Amino acid sequence: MLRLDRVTAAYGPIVALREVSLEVEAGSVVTLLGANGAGKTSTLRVISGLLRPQSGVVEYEGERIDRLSPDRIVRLGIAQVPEGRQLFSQLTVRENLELGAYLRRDRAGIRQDLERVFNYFPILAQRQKQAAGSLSGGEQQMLAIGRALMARPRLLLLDEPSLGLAPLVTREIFRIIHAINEQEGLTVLLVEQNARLALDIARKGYVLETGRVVLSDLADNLRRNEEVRRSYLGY
Amino acid sequence: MEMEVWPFLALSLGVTGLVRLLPWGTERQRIVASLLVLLAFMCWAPFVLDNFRLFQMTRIAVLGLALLGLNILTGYNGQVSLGHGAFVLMGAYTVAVLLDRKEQLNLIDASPWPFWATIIVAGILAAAAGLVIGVPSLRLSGPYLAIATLAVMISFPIIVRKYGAFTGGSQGLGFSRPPQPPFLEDLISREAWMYFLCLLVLVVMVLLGWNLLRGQFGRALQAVRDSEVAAAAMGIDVARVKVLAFVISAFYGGVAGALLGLISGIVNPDTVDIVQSINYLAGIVIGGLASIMGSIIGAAALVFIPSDAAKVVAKLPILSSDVVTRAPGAIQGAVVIVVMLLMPYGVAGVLHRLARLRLDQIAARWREAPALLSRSLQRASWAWDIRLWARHGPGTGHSPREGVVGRGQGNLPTQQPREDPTKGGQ
Amino acid sequence: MHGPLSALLQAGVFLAPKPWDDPRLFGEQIVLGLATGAVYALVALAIVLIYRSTDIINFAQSEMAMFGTFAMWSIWLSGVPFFSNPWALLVLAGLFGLGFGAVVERVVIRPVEGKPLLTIVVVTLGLFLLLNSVATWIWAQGELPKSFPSPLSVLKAVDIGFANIPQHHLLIFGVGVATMVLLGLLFNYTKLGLAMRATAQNPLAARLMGINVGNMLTLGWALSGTLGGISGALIAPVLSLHPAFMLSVLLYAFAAAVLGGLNSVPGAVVGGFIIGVAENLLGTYTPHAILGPEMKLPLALMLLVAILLVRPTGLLGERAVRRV
Repeated sequence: MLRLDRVTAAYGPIVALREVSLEVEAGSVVTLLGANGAGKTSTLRVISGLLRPQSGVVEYEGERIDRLSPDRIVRLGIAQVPEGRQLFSQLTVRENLELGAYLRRDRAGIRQDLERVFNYFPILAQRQKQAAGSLSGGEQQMLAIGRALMARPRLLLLDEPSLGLAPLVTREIFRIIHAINEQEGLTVLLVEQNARLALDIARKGYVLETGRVVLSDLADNLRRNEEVRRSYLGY
Repeated sequence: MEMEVWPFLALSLGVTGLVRLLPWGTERQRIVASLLVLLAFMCWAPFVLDNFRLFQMTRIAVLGLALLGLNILTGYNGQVSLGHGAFVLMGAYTVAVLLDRKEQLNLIDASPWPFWATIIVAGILAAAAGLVIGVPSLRLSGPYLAIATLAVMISFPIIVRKYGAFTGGSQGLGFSRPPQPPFLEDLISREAWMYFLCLLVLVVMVLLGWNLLRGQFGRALQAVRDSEVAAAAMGIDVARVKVLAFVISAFYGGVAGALLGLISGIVNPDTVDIVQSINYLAGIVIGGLASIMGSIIGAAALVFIPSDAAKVVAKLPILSSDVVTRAPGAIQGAVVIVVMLLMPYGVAGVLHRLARLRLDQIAARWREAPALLSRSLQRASWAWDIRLWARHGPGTGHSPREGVVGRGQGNLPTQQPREDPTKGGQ
Repeated sequence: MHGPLSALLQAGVFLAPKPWDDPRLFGEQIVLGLATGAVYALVALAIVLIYRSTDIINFAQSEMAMFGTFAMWSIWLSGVPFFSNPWALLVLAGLFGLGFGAVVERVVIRPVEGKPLLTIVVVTLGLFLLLNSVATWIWAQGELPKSFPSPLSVLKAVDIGFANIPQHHLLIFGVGVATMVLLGLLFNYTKLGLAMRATAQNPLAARLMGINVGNMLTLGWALSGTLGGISGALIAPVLSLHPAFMLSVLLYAFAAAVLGGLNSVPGAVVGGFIIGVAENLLGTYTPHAILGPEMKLPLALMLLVAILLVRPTGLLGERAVRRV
């Protein structure tokens, strides 16, 4: 569904991605692992159109998308849950969700999706009228995911959903991500530092180091891989 | 022998430039020599230029001093002030009052003050005002500071006008300009004397400033500008630096104002108004922020554009003559905007870059000029947008400066320093 | 009260009318203050609108409004049917401002987006100078100031019970408040308004929602231009047209915006009305020899500076937390 072919991207003089290639099959969960500064977020930014690659190709369902503007890319069905949530903190929970559906015109469909999001995250229904900034970390992450789901995406990009969250909350969120993938067939590209949780729900994984893909394999194999175990899994 | 001002300037700057750029001696020798050559040319000026142009050169010296003061505060220290004109006006009034109203004020010694003393007093009084303004300014930042200084600048002339008993109200004060010292009386004219006086004060103040700015204080100024928190973490007393910046810039402004008064012989509330104050800011931006040379170049721009732009525009056959007389003001505003778009480091920045090259490298650059120009145009993002539209159609319009249009967030997942024009200077 | 103090207080130099001497005058000054306050509030709103979404202070706001008002004046002079009607001019002023604001954003502001504060300040100041001189160039032939028409009379007064208020001032108040209400509705009850608020809060996230952030910014400037245009057309009949006529309005508007907090939309409105009323009261009830009408502006500005020192982010503004 999504393919990056030797993508190189830089912020001015700082090269963030060097010839990164990866592939995400439809309906699967693929995870991108790596330490801070490895280029994981940059990869997602390239896909979402926030960062233009200097070379290489990004293909989505057969079409090149690396030169398109971000709103075009959302229209094509790719939604991102950015690092640090990036909510509209002074707007209400409901307004945040409505903004997720900004590009859509089908009011019935939007209402349906709102229901669905509330089913996945009942706490959001309770806090509908509250300002997004007043929610707890876990609730904010749920809102961010829900907001992205409101775009009815076919590909969901998640940037470090576990960041700053307590372990129990994190596990709950990963459970829900897994459920969404299973029940709706939503393709997920998951960027994470928490390798263990990520590899638990992913089918395939890539490991990035200083902008380069150093490992790519099925999740099961990665979990057993010596390097990965030492560097990212801690045992 | 008489010369037109532009050939004169071309000659002076050309020779200075050659001395600076031709490969001889060490970098240091070249810099010092070129400056001495420039100074020599400037001393020669009164003998070749006519009175009007000479007066303009004198005004450039005075304005350059004022701009240098503002540059210290805004360019080096990052505090945006729209109120610098108030210090200049204060300096001018101080001189006028001391030379004209001393009897009414019952000052200790009612006999005429020597004019050089009035210059010093003007500077000190303005510096005191700088202290009064600088301390409360610590609480204000960025746009709030700009607005507060704007408020001061608007109010000051109104107050001066209202309480006229002291200041001569709307009409202002007049006095006679100081004459040449006796031993020079036959050698140079009044105008030349004023010119040399201002040139001397300028050179002295520039040397003082240069010494101050290249030392620890100068670095502290810029550190505070770039990041107050980081500066404080390095042990710099941020408050002290910021207030001192105000005081020093006010001192320069006051001295400039004193000179302005002395060369004009008349001071009134309109001598320096809010438009002038805005022009000061425009001047240091055009000339080059955080640059001594830039301050003087900016002053030259402010003096020459209004007088000479009209002549250039007049050469265009399509415009009628009365359109031409009103053009200069519009040109000034347009120049400011265009310069900010294309030359964020000001003219001085461009010159610095040139000066680092040698003549042979300059020749190579010349060949690249068309490419450089088109890249410069590309940086004006709307031109870029037009090209993208032409090539890809609507929907692909976002500027090559990646990141988010808006608050400049999200350039990097971690903070990346933004391009900062004030770092272009020396 | 006897003795030197009372003598001093009764001395001519301190003479000023007291509010309780003439309740009708007092009432009038308040209502007139609310009317001009509405204009200040509109311009303050324009400033806050742009500041909230881009951290830019549009120093050229007054000149943009002035430019539009002069353009309307030309239309009025030309006598074109339908459009030269003062009512139509009011609407046209708003529309002109809309377009003008959008053009300014695209051509002048967009290229300096993201650059440091000083660059942007200087660009708006340059725009100020440019517009001022171009307007002088085009329109300031012959004698100034020019008179500008109002749909209602500036002189004929209406008795509203406790005071006599000129018709035009009632119009100012009415149109001003109506505009603010419309703007409020736009922001709080429409999808577009939601998108604009979102963009102001978090441009990155807005982009990810598919919102075209560039267009939102252009729209912000366009709306701001509209507010400026309408306020120019409203206040021109009172102040008379000349290239600097909006400058004092701008300063009072800055005072109002800062007073209310540059981040706060309701603050701008409240601030505008406060400044309008305060200006009138200060001008009328302070001793003319010492203070009086000429000192209205400096007083208001010094008040502003004083308030800023006590609350550096304005009365209703929030302290901005900066990440380092």
